[in-house]
Parts: sequence; C-alpha cells; structure tokens
Amino acid sequence: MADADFEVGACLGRVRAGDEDAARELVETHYSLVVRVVRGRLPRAVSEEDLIQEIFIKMFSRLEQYRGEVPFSHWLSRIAVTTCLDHLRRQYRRGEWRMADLSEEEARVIEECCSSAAAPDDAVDALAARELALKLLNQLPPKDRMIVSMLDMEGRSVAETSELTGINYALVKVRAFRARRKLRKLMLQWQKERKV
Amino acid sequence: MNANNDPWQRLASVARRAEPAKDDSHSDDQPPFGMSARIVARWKESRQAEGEGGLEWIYAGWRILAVASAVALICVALNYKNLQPWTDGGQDVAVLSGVEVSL
Repeated sequence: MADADFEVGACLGRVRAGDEDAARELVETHYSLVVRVVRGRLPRAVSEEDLIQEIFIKMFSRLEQYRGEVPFSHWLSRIAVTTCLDHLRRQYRRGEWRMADLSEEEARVIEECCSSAAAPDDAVDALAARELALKLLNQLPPKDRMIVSMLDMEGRSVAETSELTGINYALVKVRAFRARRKLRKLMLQWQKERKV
Repeated sequence: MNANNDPWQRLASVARRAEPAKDDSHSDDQPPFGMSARIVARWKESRQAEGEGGLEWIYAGWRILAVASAVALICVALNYKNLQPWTDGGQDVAVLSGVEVSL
C-alpha cells in the first residue's frame, strides 16, 4: 500500500523532471498495490515480474497524462487492470475442459458445490476450490473473467469494479449476471459428465 | 438463483478461503531485489529513445527543407528563359504546361 506519509504530488514532480531516485521511490511505494491487482488475474503465459515491470513502464510513459483528478493509486490500478486485460485478451482461447481433465479434489469440490443438500464442507480443500474456480473463470471471455473475479473472488463492489475496469456500472452487473449463469451451467455440465 | 443454492457462489466462497499462490522468496511490500532499478533503467532508456527520436525528426525536417530548396534553385536556374512566357499574361496555363512538358 502506498505510504500515508508519501507525498505523491511532490514525487511526481521530481519524476517528471527526470529524477531517478524519485522514480525508484514511486515504484517501491506502489509495488504492493500493483502486485495485488496482478495476482489473481495473471495470464498463464506471462510471469508476474514481467507484467509488473510492464505496468510500471506504462505508468511512467503516461505520467504526463495524470492530472490529479483521481487519487494516484486509483489511476495506477486502472493501468494495471487494463494491462492484465490486454494480456488476457491476447491469450484467450476458449479451451474446452472436461470433467476428466480435473483432479480428484477438484471433481469432489464440484460435487459438493453442485449438491444443494448442504453448504460446502469445511473439509473441502480450499486450494482445490481456488484452482477449479480459476479453471472455470478461464472459460469466460477476458472482460467477464475480470469482472467476476473482482466481484466474487476478491469481494469488490460493483462500483469499485466499474471504476477499475472502466466498464459502465450497469454493464458490470449485466456481464456479471450472464457470466455467473455461464459458470453455473458449466459446473452442472461437468457434474453431469462425471455421473455418466 | 439464491446465492446459497448457486454452485458458482458456493465454490467462490470456498475458493476465497485459499490465499492466492505467492512467491515466498520476497515480501509483497517491497519489490524483489533489483526490480525497481531495472524498471527505472528501462524508463530512462525509453526517455532517451524518445528524445533521440525527437531530434531525428528535427534533423530529417532540416534535410528535406535543404534538398527542396536546392532542387527549387536548380529548376529556376535551368528554366529561367522558359519562364519568361509565364510573365506574358493571357494563356499562362497552356504556355506553362507546355514548358513543363517540354522539360
């Protein structure tokens, strides 16, 4: 998180004047913020470090466009989100997953989540659930994946998601609704495959 | 569909309990050793490239201007006599185009 004591305005002024120490300070202060955005929506073929570097380079190259109308951290988060989205778009291929491709734990998680009898057991492996959720999210188009991941995996609000992605508030809700419906359908289809 | 009965929401709620995988070799609060220096070095390179790019455009502009002036001077010198009918008024365009064709 950016330090409360950190004077963004003053630092940006120094960076614009070409001060390398200020640039390094800016990177170090906002590193954790960028890591949080990148992690969880990291495209498969890209390393975390490469993506973070790309985001900071974009930040520097667009610094002249920052007018201070929104907090710097919001502006930077938006750059990070759109960079991830660009990568996700590039690598997006609708790969067909089948129940047979899932691990035993993941198959069990699907069973437990699809059976409406009881809430998922605490014994359900959370890591397997996370892996499964990521596999399901990979089946969605990049924008939908980003939206559902922010809303359901990170617990962000619709307003926050709309601000970060630059997608209209109502459209976020519509896309989330359709994407969740698709995910439900996919889970039920996988469960059915297992029973056959 | 009620969130409690929605398989996706149930899965997401379980998945949220798991921490995303992270690289244990460094803390999330600070970039890994040397990363900020690498980023700043790349930024510096791109600034230099932009600066050089700007100068190149200026040089290219001057070169084009110099060549165009030289060509214009040569043309005027070679066609000085042929340009005389131009000042004669009347059928300027025809004469002028005739001159150009004859060149």
